[in-house]
Amino acid sequence: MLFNSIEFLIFFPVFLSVYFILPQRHRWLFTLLASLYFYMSYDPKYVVLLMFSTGISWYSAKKISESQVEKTRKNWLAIGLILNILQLVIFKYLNFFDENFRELFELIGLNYPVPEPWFNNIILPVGISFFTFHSLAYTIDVYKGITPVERSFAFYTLFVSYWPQLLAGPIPRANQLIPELRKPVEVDYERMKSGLIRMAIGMFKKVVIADRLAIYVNHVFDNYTHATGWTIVFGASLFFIQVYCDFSGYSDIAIGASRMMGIKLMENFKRPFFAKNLADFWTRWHISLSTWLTDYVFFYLGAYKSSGLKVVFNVIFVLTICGLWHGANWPMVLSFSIIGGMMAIRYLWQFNIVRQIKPSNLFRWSEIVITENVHRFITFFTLMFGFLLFRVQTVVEHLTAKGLDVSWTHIAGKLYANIFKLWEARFFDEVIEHKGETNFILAVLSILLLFVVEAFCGDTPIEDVLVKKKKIFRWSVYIFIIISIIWFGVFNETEFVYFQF
Amino acid sequence: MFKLIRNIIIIALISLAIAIVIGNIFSTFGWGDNTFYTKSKYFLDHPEDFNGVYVGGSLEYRHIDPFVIDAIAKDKGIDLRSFNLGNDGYNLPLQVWVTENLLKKNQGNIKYIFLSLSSDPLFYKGILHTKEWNYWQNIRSTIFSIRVLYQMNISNKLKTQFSRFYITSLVENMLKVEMMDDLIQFHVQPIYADSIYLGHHKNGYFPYDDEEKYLSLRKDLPDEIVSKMKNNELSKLDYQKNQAKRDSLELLWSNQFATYVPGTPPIPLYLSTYLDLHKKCEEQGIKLIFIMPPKGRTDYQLLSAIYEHLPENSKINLADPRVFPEFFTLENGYNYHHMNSKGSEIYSKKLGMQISNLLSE
Repeated sequence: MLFNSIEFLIFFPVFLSVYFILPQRHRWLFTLLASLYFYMSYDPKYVVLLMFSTGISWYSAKKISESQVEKTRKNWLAIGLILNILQLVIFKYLNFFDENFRELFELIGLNYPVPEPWFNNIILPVGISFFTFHSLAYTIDVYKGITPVERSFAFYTLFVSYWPQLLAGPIPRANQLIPELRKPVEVDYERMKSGLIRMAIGMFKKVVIADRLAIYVNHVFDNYTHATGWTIVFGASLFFIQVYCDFSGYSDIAIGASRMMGIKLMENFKRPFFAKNLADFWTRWHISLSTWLTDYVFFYLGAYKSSGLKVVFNVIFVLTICGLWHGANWPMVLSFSIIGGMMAIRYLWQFNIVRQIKPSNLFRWSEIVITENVHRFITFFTLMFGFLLFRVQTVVEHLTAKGLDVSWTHIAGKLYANIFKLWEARFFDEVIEHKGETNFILAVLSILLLFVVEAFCGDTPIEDVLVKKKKIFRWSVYIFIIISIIWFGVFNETEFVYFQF
Repeated sequence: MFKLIRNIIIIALISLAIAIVIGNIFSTFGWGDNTFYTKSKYFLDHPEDFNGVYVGGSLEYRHIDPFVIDAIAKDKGIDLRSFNLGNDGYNLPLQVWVTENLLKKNQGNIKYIFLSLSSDPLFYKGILHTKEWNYWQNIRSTIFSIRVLYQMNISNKLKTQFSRFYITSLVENMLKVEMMDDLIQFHVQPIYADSIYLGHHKNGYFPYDDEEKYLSLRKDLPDEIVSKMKNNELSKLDYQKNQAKRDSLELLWSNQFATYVPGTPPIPLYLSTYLDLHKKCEEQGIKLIFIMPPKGRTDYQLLSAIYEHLPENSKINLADPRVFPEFFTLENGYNYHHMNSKGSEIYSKKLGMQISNLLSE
């Protein structure tokens, strides 16, 4: 059940009505059943994986809490982590590893010992990366004593499967979400209004901006052999904005729906295009994942406490893990590794390491001259450069579906070779004209609106800014959002980009 | 909670009212369908050139050559200058809608309307949620379609399903759901006015094989036409290869006519609508002639029951394979439901003869 579907339009009001009609003590059970139904509406069989992940993490955490012996606790921690990761590896990465080992063996002229694998036809279960990370974090947190163990398996299942955030985050922490789920909630007009506005904004971002930009992004990348220079820059920039609106749109709907139920979810985005540098970007983009990786991987590796080169390794390693989490394919992994590499360079620069190697006043001069907005501009285009690779895998899949066998290296090579021909913009006219100029103008206006609103609101959520305005203004905005969704929304029920992860 | 629901309802109603009013102000006759808009605009912009019009679906668009029919009529001393306004996929409610609009927009030049009896309110589900299907829907046409559906001898499941489709399409059109960008584009820069849809003689006739040859020479075709061409090509190849299917379809049509029992009660609303149109045309001094075309995706027994009750001097039946086997040969066919240009020429000649006979009475 997609948030942008008719089914959800029926599901949510019905769910919310029953939720508030039920006595407080039964609501959690109803939410649990609704969450399982929500998940099973995609493919019922994968609920087994969800329950496996939930069962393993709940049981191992219980055992950890029951034992006072450090070794036993560590063993249960290892069991919980390994089994959960193993499930993720089997369903998400096995094909990728098998494919690469097969190619490696072929390259060095050896016979690959594994016969045609049985797992070739495994379809990635929706949301597996998300609920596995919920479970992993919970087990680690119980081990570290950050969160108390949850005695009720059913209630713990609700934490992992809580429907608003089950399929594409935000990735919650047990010590934040479990108390929220237990908290008694009354109907509150202001809270419900605020949640509804947030949902409407999320829907606007998804169907009016993201899905409209997708039309142009798909056209540029599906015809990547024709595009050069600015056309690729244009396509990649639009893709970056599309992914943001798609993913943050989903998060907005999840946060808004949850807020209406009286359950607070963490923010997942904070105006990422206003980031002044790459490190700043990761504090604004998919915050729940970046904090997860920071807490459970980066700090474990030593974070910034080590020597310069170790830090470089740490940054690149964490970003590579981030890429791997996003997709079991090389373009995805490399796109994040490249961004990691760029962050490492910035780190070296920031801490004078580069300057020590090659002292130059140029750097100091540039830091003074380059204003904040230029930093933002550079950050945007640096990330866009990395996100270009992010999109390559979709091109590969698109061509494979058409029966064409083109390697990702060929596509990426072509795109990166052509992107630097900045004096050219081949194919640009076709991109603009293929859906009519009105469509293009609407796409541009929607982007402008996004940037203006984000600049105007700052880090305060738009619904909080709106409540302070006069009623006539607020209502005009609500009507504008509704009419824009009706008139300019793209309702082909395209999946949210992050569902594939 | 009450306050929230009340405010949601007020805001939703204001939004819907604005969407409906603005959307309808900007809607123009035929705007949502490139082919139909081009054809209807040309026809309405040239009242001096035409005094007759064919209304129907692809069985008219692809088969009736006004050039041939006008020439036959001229030989019999009849002044017929006709235009083919048939359009792919136009079924019963659409044909009624087109005819009613033509009557409203008649500048006094229309003397003859030739209306197809080709299809019922069922349609290809793939066109749902497209502007081509939604743009013409109104409350009247939706009620009409649903009423016809419920009078037809089809399963309750189909009745419910298609009623839902019609209601959804109506809502989508009223609110202009996902259609406003196209509507703005239509007014700002009408990329729709592509004369290819008018055919070689600019009379609205364009057989499939001519279209195939003509369009294959063009390199600037929109995606929708390219994909339509590919589908047509596939259906043509399948038709040429699959003799069993060709034979079984011809047998089906023949049996429908052979086993038809005269006096079978027609669908009342279907018939009354046609008779009503006939009356409205008469009031404007227009002669309305009903044509039962061959190779339709329809139930000919259902149409025969209606045909039987139509006025005697206002109907033509060319659909029976036992009477007109030439329309069903491989040599004259393009796909299972359409003839090629050779078959269409033969069909147009036969139709021209019958029209001339009726008009000279």
